[in-house]
Amino acid sequence: MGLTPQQWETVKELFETAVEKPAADRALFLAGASQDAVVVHEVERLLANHTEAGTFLSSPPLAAVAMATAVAAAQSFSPGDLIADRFRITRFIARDGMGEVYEAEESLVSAWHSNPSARNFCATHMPWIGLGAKFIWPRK
Amino acid sequence: MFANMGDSHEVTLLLSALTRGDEEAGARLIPLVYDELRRLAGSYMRRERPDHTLQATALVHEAYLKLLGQQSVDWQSRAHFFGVAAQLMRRILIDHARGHLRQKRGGEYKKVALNEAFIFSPEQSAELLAVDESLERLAKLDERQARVVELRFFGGLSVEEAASVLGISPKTVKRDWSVAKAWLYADLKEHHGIDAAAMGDGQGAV
Repeated sequence: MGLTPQQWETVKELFETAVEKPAADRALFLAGASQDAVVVHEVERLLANHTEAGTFLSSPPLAAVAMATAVAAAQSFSPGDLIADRFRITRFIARDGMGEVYEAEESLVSAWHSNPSARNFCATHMPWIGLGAKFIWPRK
Repeated sequence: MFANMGDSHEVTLLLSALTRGDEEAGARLIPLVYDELRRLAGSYMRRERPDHTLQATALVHEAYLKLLGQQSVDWQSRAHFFGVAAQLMRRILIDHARGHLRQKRGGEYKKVALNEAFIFSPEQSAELLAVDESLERLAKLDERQARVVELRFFGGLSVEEAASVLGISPKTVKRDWSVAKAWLYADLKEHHGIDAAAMGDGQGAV
Protein backbone atom coordinates (compact mmCIF):
# COMPACT_ATOMS: atom_id res chain seq x y z
CA MET A 1 0.00 0.00 0.00
CA GLY A 2 3.03 2.22 0.59
CA LEU A 3 1.60 4.72 3.07
CA THR A 4 4.06 6.60 5.22
CA PRO A 5 3.37 6.71 8.97
CA GLN A 6 2.32 10.36 8.58
CA GLN A 7 -0.08 9.51 5.75
CA TRP A 8 -1.57 6.67 7.81
CA GLU A 9 -2.17 9.02 10.76
CA THR A 10 -3.94 11.42 8.40
CA VAL A 11 -5.99 8.57 6.94
CA LYS A 12 -7.20 7.58 10.42
CA GLU A 13 -8.14 11.15 11.34
CA LEU A 14 -10.02 11.76 8.08
CA PHE A 15 -11.75 8.40 8.27
CA GLU A 16 -12.98 9.11 11.78
CA THR A 17 -14.55 12.39 10.68
CA ALA A 18 -15.83 11.19 7.30
CA VAL A 19 -17.51 8.06 8.66
CA GLU A 20 -19.78 10.26 10.79
CA LYS A 21 -20.97 12.20 7.74
CA PRO A 22 -23.77 11.15 5.38
CA ALA A 23 -22.38 9.07 2.51
CA ALA A 24 -23.32 11.75 -0.02
CA ASP A 25 -21.22 14.39 1.76
CA ARG A 26 -18.03 12.37 2.17
CA ALA A 27 -16.44 12.96 -1.24
CA LEU A 28 -16.78 16.74 -0.90
CA PHE A 29 -15.39 16.61 2.63
CA LEU A 30 -12.35 14.57 1.55
CA ALA A 31 -11.66 16.79 -1.45
CA GLY A 32 -11.49 19.78 0.85
CA ALA A 33 -9.61 18.04 3.65
CA SER A 34 -6.55 16.70 1.82
CA GLN A 35 -4.64 17.30 -1.39
CA ASP A 36 -2.83 13.98 -1.04
CA ALA A 37 -4.41 11.63 -3.60
CA VAL A 38 -2.95 8.54 -1.87
CA VAL A 39 -4.51 9.54 1.43
CA VAL A 40 -7.88 10.35 -0.12
CA HIS A 41 -7.93 7.08 -2.03
CA GLU A 42 -7.14 5.07 1.10
CA VAL A 43 -9.84 6.81 3.12
CA GLU A 44 -12.36 6.19 0.34
CA ARG A 45 -11.34 2.52 0.23
CA LEU A 46 -11.76 2.17 4.00
CA LEU A 47 -15.13 3.95 3.96
CA ALA A 48 -16.46 1.64 1.26
CA ASN A 49 -15.31 -1.44 3.16
CA HIS A 50 -16.57 -0.09 6.47
CA THR A 51 -20.07 0.03 5.02
CA GLU A 52 -19.74 -3.47 3.58
CA ALA A 53 -18.18 -5.00 6.68
CA GLY A 54 -21.38 -5.01 8.76
CA THR A 55 -21.03 -7.60 11.53
CA PHE A 56 -17.60 -8.78 10.34
CA LEU A 57 -15.48 -9.91 13.35
CA SER A 58 -18.37 -9.36 15.74
CA SER A 59 -18.35 -12.85 17.21
CA PRO A 60 -15.35 -14.14 19.21
CA PRO A 61 -14.41 -17.45 17.56
CA LEU A 62 -13.74 -19.43 20.74
CA ALA A 63 -17.17 -18.55 22.11
CA ALA A 64 -18.73 -19.27 18.72
CA VAL A 65 -17.14 -22.72 18.83
CA ALA A 66 -18.48 -23.26 22.34
CA MET A 67 -21.91 -22.13 21.16
CA ALA A 68 -21.85 -24.41 18.12
CA THR A 69 -20.86 -27.33 20.36
CA ALA A 70 -23.72 -26.55 22.72
CA VAL A 71 -26.20 -26.26 19.85
CA ALA A 72 -25.13 -29.66 18.55
CA ALA A 73 -25.36 -31.19 22.02
CA ALA A 74 -28.78 -29.68 22.67
CA GLN A 75 -30.43 -31.07 19.55
CA SER A 76 -32.81 -33.97 20.00
CA PHE A 77 -31.93 -35.56 16.66
CA SER A 78 -28.98 -35.87 14.34
CA PRO A 79 -28.99 -36.24 10.54
CA GLY A 80 -29.81 -39.83 9.65
CA ASP A 81 -32.04 -40.49 12.68
CA LEU A 82 -35.26 -42.28 11.80
CA ILE A 83 -38.39 -41.06 13.57
CA ALA A 84 -41.48 -43.26 13.95
CA ASP A 85 -39.96 -45.67 11.38
CA ARG A 86 -40.86 -43.16 8.73
CA PHE A 87 -39.14 -39.78 8.83
CA ARG A 88 -35.41 -39.62 8.15
CA ILE A 89 -33.81 -36.44 9.59
CA THR A 90 -31.72 -34.65 6.99
CA ARG A 91 -30.73 -31.51 8.91
CA PHE A 92 -31.46 -29.28 11.90
CA ILE A 93 -33.07 -25.98 10.85
CA ALA A 94 -33.77 -23.93 13.98
CA ARG A 95 -35.00 -23.85 17.55
CA ASP A 96 -37.49 -21.49 19.14
CA GLY A 97 -39.64 -21.35 22.25
CA MET A 98 -41.99 -23.97 20.85
CA GLY A 99 -39.51 -26.61 19.84
CA GLU A 100 -36.98 -27.66 17.24
CA VAL A 101 -37.48 -27.67 13.49
CA TYR A 102 -35.78 -30.29 11.34
CA GLU A 103 -35.83 -31.06 7.69
CA ALA A 104 -36.78 -34.66 7.14
CA GLU A 105 -37.71 -36.94 4.31
CA GLU A 106 -40.15 -39.77 4.41
CA SER A 107 -38.22 -42.99 4.14
CA LEU A 108 -41.10 -44.55 2.23
CA VAL A 109 -40.70 -41.84 -0.37
CA SER A 110 -36.98 -42.53 -0.47
CA ALA A 111 -37.75 -46.13 -1.24
CA TRP A 112 -40.00 -45.04 -4.07
CA HIS A 113 -37.23 -42.85 -5.42
CA SER A 114 -34.75 -45.71 -5.45
CA ASN A 115 -37.03 -47.54 -7.88
CA PRO A 116 -36.62 -46.10 -11.42
CA SER A 117 -40.19 -46.68 -12.58
CA ALA A 118 -41.55 -45.30 -9.32
CA ARG A 119 -39.19 -42.34 -9.64
CA ASN A 120 -40.48 -41.57 -13.14
CA PHE A 121 -44.03 -41.83 -11.90
CA CYS A 122 -43.29 -39.50 -9.02
CA ALA A 123 -41.47 -37.01 -11.22
CA THR A 124 -44.48 -36.85 -13.52
CA HIS A 125 -47.36 -36.97 -11.10
CA MET A 126 -46.00 -35.95 -7.68
CA PRO A 127 -43.19 -33.45 -8.26
CA TRP A 128 -43.46 -32.09 -4.73
CA ILE A 129 -42.31 -35.36 -3.21
CA GLY A 130 -38.70 -35.52 -2.20
CA LEU A 131 -38.31 -31.78 -1.73
CA GLY A 132 -37.82 -32.27 2.00
CA ALA A 133 -40.44 -31.65 4.63
CA LYS A 134 -40.17 -29.62 7.79
CA PHE A 135 -40.42 -31.73 10.88
CA ILE A 136 -41.31 -30.05 14.16
CA TRP A 137 -40.35 -31.60 17.45
CA PRO A 138 -41.98 -30.09 20.57
CA ARG A 139 -39.72 -28.58 23.17
CA LYS A 140 -38.99 -30.83 26.13
CA MET B 1 -24.11 -23.81 35.91
CA PHE B 2 -21.31 -21.98 37.61
CA ALA B 3 -17.58 -22.27 37.57
CA ASN B 4 -16.77 -24.13 40.72
CA MET B 5 -14.73 -22.55 43.47
CA GLY B 6 -11.82 -24.78 42.56
CA ASP B 7 -11.67 -23.24 39.09
CA SER B 8 -11.96 -19.75 40.47
CA HIS B 9 -9.18 -20.41 42.97
CA GLU B 10 -7.03 -21.94 40.25
CA VAL B 11 -7.57 -18.89 38.05
CA THR B 12 -6.33 -16.66 40.85
CA LEU B 13 -3.22 -18.81 41.27
CA LEU B 14 -2.63 -18.88 37.53
CA LEU B 15 -2.98 -15.10 37.36
CA SER B 16 -0.34 -14.74 40.04
CA ALA B 17 1.92 -17.11 38.13
CA LEU B 18 1.33 -15.15 34.92
CA THR B 19 2.25 -11.94 36.67
CA ARG B 20 5.57 -13.58 37.53
CA GLY B 21 6.06 -14.41 33.85
CA ASP B 22 5.18 -18.12 34.02
CA GLU B 23 4.08 -18.99 30.46
CA GLU B 24 3.02 -22.47 31.46
CA ALA B 25 0.29 -20.87 33.55
CA GLY B 26 -1.23 -19.34 30.43
CA ALA B 27 -1.50 -22.71 28.72
CA ARG B 28 -3.43 -24.02 31.74
CA LEU B 29 -5.67 -20.98 31.83
CA ILE B 30 -7.35 -21.29 28.44
CA PRO B 31 -8.88 -24.75 28.96
CA LEU B 32 -10.52 -23.30 32.08
CA VAL B 33 -11.92 -20.43 30.03
CA TYR B 34 -13.13 -22.76 27.31
CA ASP B 35 -14.72 -25.22 29.74
CA GLU B 36 -16.59 -22.34 31.31
CA LEU B 37 -17.66 -21.11 27.86
CA ARG B 38 -19.04 -24.52 27.05
CA ARG B 39 -20.87 -24.79 30.37
CA LEU B 40 -22.46 -21.39 29.82
CA ALA B 41 -23.29 -22.12 26.18
CA GLY B 42 -25.08 -25.28 27.25
CA SER B 43 -27.02 -23.28 29.80
CA TYR B 44 -28.00 -20.70 27.15
CA MET B 45 -29.18 -23.45 24.84
CA ARG B 46 -31.50 -24.85 27.44
CA ARG B 47 -33.25 -21.60 28.22
CA GLU B 48 -33.01 -19.25 25.28
CA ARG B 49 -33.40 -18.90 21.60
CA PRO B 50 -30.01 -19.17 19.99
CA ASP B 51 -28.57 -15.96 18.58
CA HIS B 52 -24.94 -16.72 17.88
CA THR B 53 -23.62 -13.22 17.46
CA LEU B 54 -25.12 -11.74 20.61
CA GLN B 55 -24.75 -14.81 22.74
CA ALA B 56 -21.18 -15.60 21.79
CA THR B 57 -20.11 -12.11 22.83
CA ALA B 58 -22.10 -12.16 26.06
CA LEU B 59 -20.80 -15.62 26.74
CA VAL B 60 -17.18 -14.49 26.93
CA HIS B 61 -17.97 -11.79 29.45
CA GLU B 62 -19.94 -14.14 31.62
CA ALA B 63 -17.19 -16.76 31.48
CA TYR B 64 -14.53 -14.23 32.46
CA LEU B 65 -16.61 -12.89 35.32
CA LYS B 66 -17.40 -16.34 36.65
CA LEU B 67 -13.79 -17.45 36.42
CA LEU B 68 -12.59 -14.35 38.21
CA GLY B 69 -15.49 -15.02 40.55
CA GLN B 70 -15.63 -13.55 43.99
CA GLN B 71 -11.87 -13.50 44.30
CA SER B 72 -10.47 -10.09 45.05
CA VAL B 73 -8.67 -9.72 41.75
CA ASP B 74 -7.17 -6.27 41.42
CA TRP B 75 -7.59 -4.11 38.35
CA GLN B 76 -4.11 -4.79 37.01
CA SER B 77 -4.41 -8.56 37.36
CA ARG B 78 -7.80 -8.44 35.68
CA ALA B 79 -6.42 -6.43 32.74
CA HIS B 80 -3.45 -8.78 32.57
CA PHE B 81 -5.78 -11.76 32.51
CA PHE B 82 -7.83 -10.26 29.66
CA GLY B 83 -4.71 -9.47 27.65
CA VAL B 84 -3.14 -12.88 28.10
CA ALA B 85 -6.42 -14.70 27.45
CA ALA B 86 -6.84 -12.93 24.09
CA GLN B 87 -3.30 -13.81 22.99
CA LEU B 88 -3.68 -17.43 24.05
CA MET B 89 -7.09 -17.83 22.44
CA ARG B 90 -5.66 -16.54 19.19
CA ARG B 91 -2.68 -18.87 19.32
CA ILE B 92 -4.73 -21.93 20.20
CA LEU B 93 -7.40 -21.30 17.57
CA ILE B 94 -4.82 -20.68 14.86
CA ASP B 95 -2.82 -23.77 15.86
CA HIS B 96 -5.99 -25.78 15.70
CA ALA B 97 -7.08 -24.39 12.34
CA ARG B 98 -3.61 -25.03 10.89
CA GLY B 99 -3.54 -28.57 12.27
CA HIS B 100 -7.01 -29.24 10.98
CA LEU B 101 -6.10 -28.18 7.45
CA ARG B 102 -2.91 -30.24 7.59
CA GLN B 103 -4.95 -33.27 8.63
CA LYS B 104 -7.41 -32.68 5.80
CA ARG B 105 -4.51 -32.73 3.36
CA GLY B 106 -3.43 -36.11 4.71
CA GLY B 107 -0.63 -34.83 6.89
CA GLU B 108 0.05 -35.57 10.48
CA TYR B 109 -2.21 -33.73 12.90
CA LYS B 110 -0.28 -32.21 15.74
CA LYS B 111 -2.59 -32.27 18.72
CA VAL B 112 -3.31 -28.93 20.33
CA ALA B 113 -5.22 -28.06 23.46
CA LEU B 114 -9.03 -28.26 23.18
CA ASN B 115 -8.87 -30.22 19.96
CA GLU B 116 -11.54 -32.64 21.07
CA ALA B 117 -14.15 -29.94 21.10
CA PHE B 118 -13.49 -28.00 17.92
CA ILE B 119 -15.34 -28.83 14.79
CA PHE B 120 -13.95 -26.67 12.00
CA SER B 121 -14.82 -27.11 8.39
CA PRO B 122 -11.82 -26.70 6.07
CA GLU B 123 -13.35 -23.40 4.89
CA GLN B 124 -13.69 -22.12 8.45
CA SER B 125 -10.10 -23.09 9.26
CA ALA B 126 -8.88 -21.34 6.13
CA GLU B 127 -10.89 -18.21 6.96
CA LEU B 128 -9.52 -18.07 10.48
CA LEU B 129 -5.96 -18.41 9.20
CA ALA B 130 -6.66 -15.70 6.64
CA VAL B 131 -7.83 -13.32 9.39
CA ASP B 132 -4.67 -14.12 11.35
CA GLU B 133 -2.46 -13.39 8.34
CA SER B 134 -4.27 -10.14 7.63
CA LEU B 135 -3.83 -9.19 11.26
CA GLU B 136 -0.09 -9.75 10.94
CA ARG B 137 -0.04 -7.38 7.96
CA LEU B 138 -2.06 -4.81 9.89
CA ALA B 139 0.40 -5.06 12.79
CA LYS B 140 3.17 -3.88 10.47
CA LEU B 141 1.14 -0.80 9.60
CA ASP B 142 -0.41 -0.13 13.00
CA GLU B 143 0.56 -2.36 15.91
CA ARG B 144 -1.94 -0.89 18.34
CA GLN B 145 -4.85 -1.46 15.98
CA ALA B 146 -3.82 -5.09 15.53
CA ARG B 147 -3.72 -5.48 19.31
CA VAL B 148 -7.20 -3.96 19.61
CA VAL B 149 -8.50 -6.52 17.12
CA GLU B 150 -6.78 -9.34 18.98
CA LEU B 151 -8.37 -8.25 22.25
CA ARG B 152 -11.83 -7.68 20.83
CA PHE B 153 -12.10 -10.49 18.26
CA PHE B 154 -10.00 -13.29 19.74
CA GLY B 155 -10.39 -12.22 23.36
CA GLY B 156 -14.03 -11.10 23.13
CA LEU B 157 -13.34 -7.99 25.21
CA SER B 158 -15.59 -4.95 25.30
CA VAL B 159 -14.33 -1.52 24.24
CA GLU B 160 -13.81 -0.56 27.89
CA GLU B 161 -11.95 -3.75 28.75
CA ALA B 162 -9.68 -3.44 25.74
CA ALA B 163 -9.01 0.18 26.71
CA SER B 164 -8.01 -0.88 30.23
CA VAL B 165 -5.63 -3.54 28.91
CA LEU B 166 -3.92 -1.12 26.53
CA GLY B 167 -4.03 1.88 28.83
CA ILE B 168 -5.77 4.07 26.24
CA SER B 169 -9.18 5.74 26.12
CA PRO B 170 -12.32 3.87 25.04
CA LYS B 171 -12.74 6.48 22.31
CA THR B 172 -9.35 5.55 20.85
CA VAL B 173 -10.24 1.85 21.00
CA LYS B 174 -13.49 2.56 19.16
CA ARG B 175 -11.67 4.46 16.43
CA ASP B 176 -8.95 1.82 16.08
CA TRP B 177 -11.55 -0.95 15.93
CA SER B 178 -13.58 0.83 13.27
CA VAL B 179 -10.58 1.54 11.02
CA ALA B 180 -9.03 -1.89 11.59
CA LYS B 181 -12.23 -3.75 10.71
CA ALA B 182 -12.53 -1.86 7.42
CA TRP B 183 -8.82 -2.39 6.68
CA LEU B 184 -8.94 -6.13 7.45
CA TYR B 185 -12.14 -6.60 5.51
CA ALA B 186 -10.53 -5.01 2.44
CA ASP B 187 -7.30 -6.96 2.95
CA LEU B 188 -9.13 -10.31 3.18
CA LYS B 189 -10.95 -9.62 -0.05
CA GLU B 190 -7.78 -8.56 -1.83
CA HIS B 191 -5.41 -11.25 -0.60
CA HIS B 192 -7.69 -14.22 -0.12
CA GLY B 193 -10.77 -13.51 -2.20
CA ILE B 194 -12.78 -14.42 0.86
CA ASP B 195 -16.36 -13.36 1.32
CA ALA B 196 -15.55 -11.53 4.53
CA ALA B 197 -19.21 -10.62 5.06
CA ALA B 198 -19.91 -14.25 5.95
CA MET B 199 -17.41 -14.12 8.80
CA GLY B 200 -19.31 -12.05 11.28
CA ASP B 201 -22.11 -14.24 12.46
CA GLY B 202 -20.11 -16.77 14.38
CA GLN B 203 -20.50 -19.34 11.65
CA GLY B 204 -17.81 -18.30 9.26
CA ALA B 205 -15.11 -17.24 11.57
CA VAL B 206 -14.69 -20.39 13.54
